[in-house]
Amino acid sequence: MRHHTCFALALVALLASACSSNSGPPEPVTLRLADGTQGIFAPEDALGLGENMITITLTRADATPITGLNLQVDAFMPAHGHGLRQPPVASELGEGRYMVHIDFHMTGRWDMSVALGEGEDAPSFSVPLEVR
Amino acid sequence: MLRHAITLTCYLLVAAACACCLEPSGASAQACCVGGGGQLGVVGRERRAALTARLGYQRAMGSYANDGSYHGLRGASIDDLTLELGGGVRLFDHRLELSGTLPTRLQHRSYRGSQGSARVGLGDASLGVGLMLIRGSVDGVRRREPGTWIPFLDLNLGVLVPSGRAPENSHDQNGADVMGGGHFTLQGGLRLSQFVSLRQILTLSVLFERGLARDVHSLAGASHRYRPGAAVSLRASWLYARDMRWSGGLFVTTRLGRPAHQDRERVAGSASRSFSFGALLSWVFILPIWEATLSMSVDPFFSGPGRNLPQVGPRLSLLMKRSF
Ligand SMILES: [Cu+2]
Repeated sequence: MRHHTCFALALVALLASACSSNSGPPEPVTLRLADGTQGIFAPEDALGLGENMITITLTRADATPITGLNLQVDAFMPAHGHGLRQPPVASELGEGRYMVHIDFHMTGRWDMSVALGEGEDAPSFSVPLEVR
Repeated sequence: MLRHAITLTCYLLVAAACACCLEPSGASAQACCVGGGGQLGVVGRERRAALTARLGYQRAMGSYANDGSYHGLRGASIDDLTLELGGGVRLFDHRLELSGTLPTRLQHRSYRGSQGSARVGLGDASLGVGLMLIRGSVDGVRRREPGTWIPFLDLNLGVLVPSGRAPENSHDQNGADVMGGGHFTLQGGLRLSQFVSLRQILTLSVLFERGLARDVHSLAGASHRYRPGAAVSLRASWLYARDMRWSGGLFVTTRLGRPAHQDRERVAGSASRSFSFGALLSWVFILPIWEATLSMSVDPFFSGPGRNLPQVGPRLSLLMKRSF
């Protein structure tokens, strides 16, 4: 009986570790621009092929949230020399938080660019992402 | 008996040439950008010309990340069907071979959260020149006869033509219409074939590839000068002829890709590495002109052997060849 309980516990532990190994959102990426603007980029789940959601939190150097931006998001695969097939969609959630819907069609390293507004002079983040 | 041995040798030579061209460039130049790796040449050494049709199927089962870790495909299905027509002719006492291939591809892509799509189109064509540098012995290696140790040595030069749709010209939301690499690729290689016996050939080949630079752009319009990394492929194969009709063999291939360059800067972590192994079975069903070859190969599905490969999985192909 004790034997069975030990086996069941081991099985549960094994399953739990197997489930946690490749799923769940990765650690958020925090980046800073020269003027102190901070961006926190947090995927909702592990980045994979197809649709993905990434929450972006933007604050000024004095930690106040940056609101009302029309974010321009794009991504490129520098190792292969190509970009996305569909333009990402960004929407504002409030209090400096934004949601980006982005579709990846290939696994590997992507560089996501997030410009804080339109025009070539808009400051922008370059966020490395690993799609698996 | 002697005549039988000579004829068998001829078929072994034909089959060996076949084994080397079973995975033409089109097979791996899929929607991703890790193209090439194929071997050049179509015509058996003792034949004047040949026409080929190869039907290939590849299914992606996973991918290799930059750190060499293998990841099974999640929420996606990626399937490629290729029909590749090829032809070649031998000139100047069979020493010079001119060949070419043209693939047509049917690709299906389906990812989580989006509708699947399937597209048909031309893949990247290839043109090649082969030169037999050394005409080796076909007698099989005998220890005390140095003449039997002379291998066949072939030099192959080729070019991949970007006739398939490039990644930056894709209109399909899943990229199912990306049929080629988008750039010219220059190829050069050597192939060493040794008759270890009257029935067995060992072949070693090496192929260098250099993709030419081009301008690419992202969806938002950002433009870059992109040059794919150079690559070297190594392939070893063993072939055994049971009789004049049946032969079979095993092969392993590895391809090492150097880093790509973007705007003249090396792209960090973009070097790639692949490894695959497979087997083939060849049947001459109308002596001596019609031949069918079934080939299967697979990439490993565990961490370590590969690196930076967006799509790996099993490949199956059937090659029909009419020799003249
Ligand atoms: Cu790619």
